[in-house]
Amino acid sequence: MNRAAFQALWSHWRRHPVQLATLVLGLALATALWSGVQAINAEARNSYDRAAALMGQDSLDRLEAPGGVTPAQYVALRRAGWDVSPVVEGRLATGLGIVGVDPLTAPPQPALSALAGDTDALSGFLGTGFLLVAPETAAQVAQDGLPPFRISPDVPAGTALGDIGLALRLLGTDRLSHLLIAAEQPMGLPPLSDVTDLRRVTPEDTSSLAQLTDSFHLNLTAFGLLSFAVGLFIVQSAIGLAFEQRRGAFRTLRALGISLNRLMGLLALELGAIALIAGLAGIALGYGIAAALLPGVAGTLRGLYGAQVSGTLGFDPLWAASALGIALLGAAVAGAQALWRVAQMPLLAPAQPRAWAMASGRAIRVQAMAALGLLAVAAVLAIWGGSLLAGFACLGALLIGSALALPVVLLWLLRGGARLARGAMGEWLVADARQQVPALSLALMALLLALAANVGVGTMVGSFRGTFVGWLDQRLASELYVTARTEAEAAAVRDWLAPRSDAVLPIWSVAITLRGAPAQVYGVADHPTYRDNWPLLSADPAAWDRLATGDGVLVNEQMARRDGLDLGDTLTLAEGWAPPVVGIYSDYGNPQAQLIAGTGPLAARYPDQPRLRYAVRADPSRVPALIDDLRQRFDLPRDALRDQAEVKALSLRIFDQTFLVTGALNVLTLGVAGFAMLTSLLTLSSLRLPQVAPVWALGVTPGTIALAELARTALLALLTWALAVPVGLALAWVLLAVVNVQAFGWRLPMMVFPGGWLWLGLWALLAALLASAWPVWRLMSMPGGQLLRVFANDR
Amino acid sequence: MLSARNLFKSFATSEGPLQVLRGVSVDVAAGESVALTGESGSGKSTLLHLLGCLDTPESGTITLQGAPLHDLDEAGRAAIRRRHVSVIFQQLNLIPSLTVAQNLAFQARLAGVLDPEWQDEIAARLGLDTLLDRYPEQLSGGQQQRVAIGRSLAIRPELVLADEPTGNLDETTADNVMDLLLDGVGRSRSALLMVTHSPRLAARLNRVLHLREGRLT
Repeated sequence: MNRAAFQALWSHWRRHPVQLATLVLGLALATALWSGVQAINAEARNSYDRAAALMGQDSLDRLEAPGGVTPAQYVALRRAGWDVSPVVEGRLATGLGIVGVDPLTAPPQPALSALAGDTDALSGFLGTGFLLVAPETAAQVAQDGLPPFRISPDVPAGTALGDIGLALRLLGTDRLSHLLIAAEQPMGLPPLSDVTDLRRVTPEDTSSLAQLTDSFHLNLTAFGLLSFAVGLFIVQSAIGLAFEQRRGAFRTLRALGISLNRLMGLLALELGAIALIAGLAGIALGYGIAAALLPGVAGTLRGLYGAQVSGTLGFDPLWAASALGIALLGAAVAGAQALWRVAQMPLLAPAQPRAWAMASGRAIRVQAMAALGLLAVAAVLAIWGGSLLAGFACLGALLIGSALALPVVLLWLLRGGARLARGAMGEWLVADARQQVPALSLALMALLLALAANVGVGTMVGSFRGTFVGWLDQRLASELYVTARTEAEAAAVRDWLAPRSDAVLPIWSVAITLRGAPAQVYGVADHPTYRDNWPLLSADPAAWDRLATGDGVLVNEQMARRDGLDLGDTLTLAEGWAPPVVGIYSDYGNPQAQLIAGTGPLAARYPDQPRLRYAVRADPSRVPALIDDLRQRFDLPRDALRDQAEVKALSLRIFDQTFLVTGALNVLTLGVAGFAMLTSLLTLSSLRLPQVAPVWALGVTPGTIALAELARTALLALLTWALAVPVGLALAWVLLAVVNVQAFGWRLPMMVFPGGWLWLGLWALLAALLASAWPVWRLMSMPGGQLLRVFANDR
Repeated sequence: MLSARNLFKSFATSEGPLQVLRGVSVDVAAGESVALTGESGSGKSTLLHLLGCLDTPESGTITLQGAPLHDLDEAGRAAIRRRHVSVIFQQLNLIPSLTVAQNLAFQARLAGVLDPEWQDEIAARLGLDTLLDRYPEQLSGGQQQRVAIGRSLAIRPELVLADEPTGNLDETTADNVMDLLLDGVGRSRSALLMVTHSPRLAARLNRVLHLREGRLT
């Protein structure tokens, strides 16, 4: 009996292959976008874990000092019996990260397993020297001037692991970054505080990459969830249609003795089988999407956080299983309403499918109240939320509330529009659009979400870019930036440049740990270049004078927000030096705390810090000649000289790369929404004969009806777009004023781009017209006889 | 007024072409009411569809007031349906998204011949004046057919074609609808050709034609 009943149910799909394809494709798309994003997140987290596990940085305490650890301090600790191991970290001008370790004292770890028990390899590592790198790093990084590479898959991407001596030489420093303290130490050691004045830091104190990038991955997950929800609209629409068309079959099966429970079980089985097929397709599609987006994500993470993420994707069976699970869950969620309707359907219910549904006044009122409630929650969270989670909850409430409000507002607008409609066809067009709103509401909600996300994210990125460009102009006021290789070379370059330029301004920096987190202190000269251009958000009137005397320090916005700093608060930057904050400046794109002090005061507190970098002020027309002369005279490498335009172009390139993934996900979400429109219109076209046939019979040509159908779809799409713009702007405001501040620590001014909205409106119109073209063509190419059948019998 | 000569029509089926009409000729005079009866599948509805420009014959001629209808293109046929010939079906005559008032006026507005006084009179005589703001789904079957009759009479057509207009109604309601239809076509001076299975209703019209296996007998 089960088999016969199942065959009867399944026969529907054989007769409606397009409907089946829609359902499978919708579910596959939803699964693919969600699981693709999850695969990207998993790959990135895997990279973070590899980076964190390198040299026990995720588990071992460390000793560090502002400005680094001297070899003497290391030797003193070893002599006192402490089992500590030196580590030096830095980055070459090419972007390759260098980690130097002492393999003889380093804690055991997978990255060094290639050396374990292999005397030749160990002596090579210590002797002539080679660098251990991940396979993808070896494939991407040019080896010019570097020691040979050896492959070790456990080394993080974009990083090379070498002997400490080699690393110090490559990085041009004599300071160690920190000392790792082995977990087990000999008995009877003197207390650390008696042996050294280095600061002991536990792994929890450090601002780990995983924590830093959490907000980015939360962002991606939110986008994945949005795409998944939009995809589920397609699935629900297709399932709803299939169930509606089979009302007669359900009634017959039950009349023939199939119990309601058995019917429900068979339908659930059918849905499960389809979800399984769609899930497998979704896994393949999701893997493809993740593989295509991962290089962009890697670029984004590099640009935003300096995180090195492998650009190649592995296949994890657990991920595939979870993707299959999400497909089944999605099908269950999307099919729940249809199954519930079947469960509630009386045995003698009319078998004719409902071509359209007038939303009852009560249902509309309930939906309006729910929408208002959610929008109120969004407003409360936006004003009083105060956390990243509250920010995302606010976004969710805003989007769902707006989506729920859409049909209510559309019905209200169309009711008003009916009074303005002229002529019989105009009246019919508006009245019919009103009646289609309930049937099309899911697709229109999907379109609203996609358009609002586009407007919102576009506004955020546009505001960010606009602000960033202006900020770059302020920050990069100098015409040329020079980095010398040694102190002696730096002095020679400075002396040579002095008579040939307007000013040579030192840019020295010291890495310190401040309030338990890494921070970079930059020393700048007292010069109009900074006084006139530096982008200060708030400052003491005498900020620059106080900076020059050491009686003040500037902090970047993210540090001020993170630590709740205000003007006048003091910061201990070195022993006996605790200047007050005299200004807060914007510092977009930097994930870490940064401070600015006067060159003199900083050099006095950190006299051993190398002074290699200078900003040069000169007439821009003379810069190319200066660069050539400097290269020839000092044989400086290409990376040592950067003119302003080059740095700006590089910064903008990194910036644009940062938002490539967001752009791609935006387009994908819009594509899915367009597909949702197509499936809904296809669904509707087969149920619209009772609406269209009387109009045709009354003397309206098929061509006119086709135009009316297209006009109606265009009208609904344009109204949805018009409502999506304010929702998108609200979304942008939440992103800029709430999420960004919580996630990155800086707030951006909001800029609006009406031209972009118009383009988006045109795209929405085009997508809607394309989506309606096939259903309209199908409807219009229907033979008259098929339309006449509407009047002849109970369909 | 309406003249059809030697009409042939067949439909393709999985077992080959099915000949539905085999040389039917029929004349309807102005103001005349004619009943068309016959077994299921005898071709009654097909003949009605050809006369109402809803379909085209394979061969044969149809003229209305002397003008040929059989060789019109889709736009020409649509124009005839809009202004000269009204069709009332057994069910689903109305446009679901429009109110009763809008449905009543729809065809007359399409044809550009809306006469508000005439429409008010029709609504009153059909007892629809209290239902004007309702939607079709809020009406009973009899009320829906009354709206369909009112709409078809609103253009004062030369010919009203009705395909079992009371087929879905109980006897009392069917009689009531029939009274209104005959009264209406009389007032608008339209001719009426009505398909029916009911000898009782057929007897109320001027003339009865019987169709059998695609031929008039």
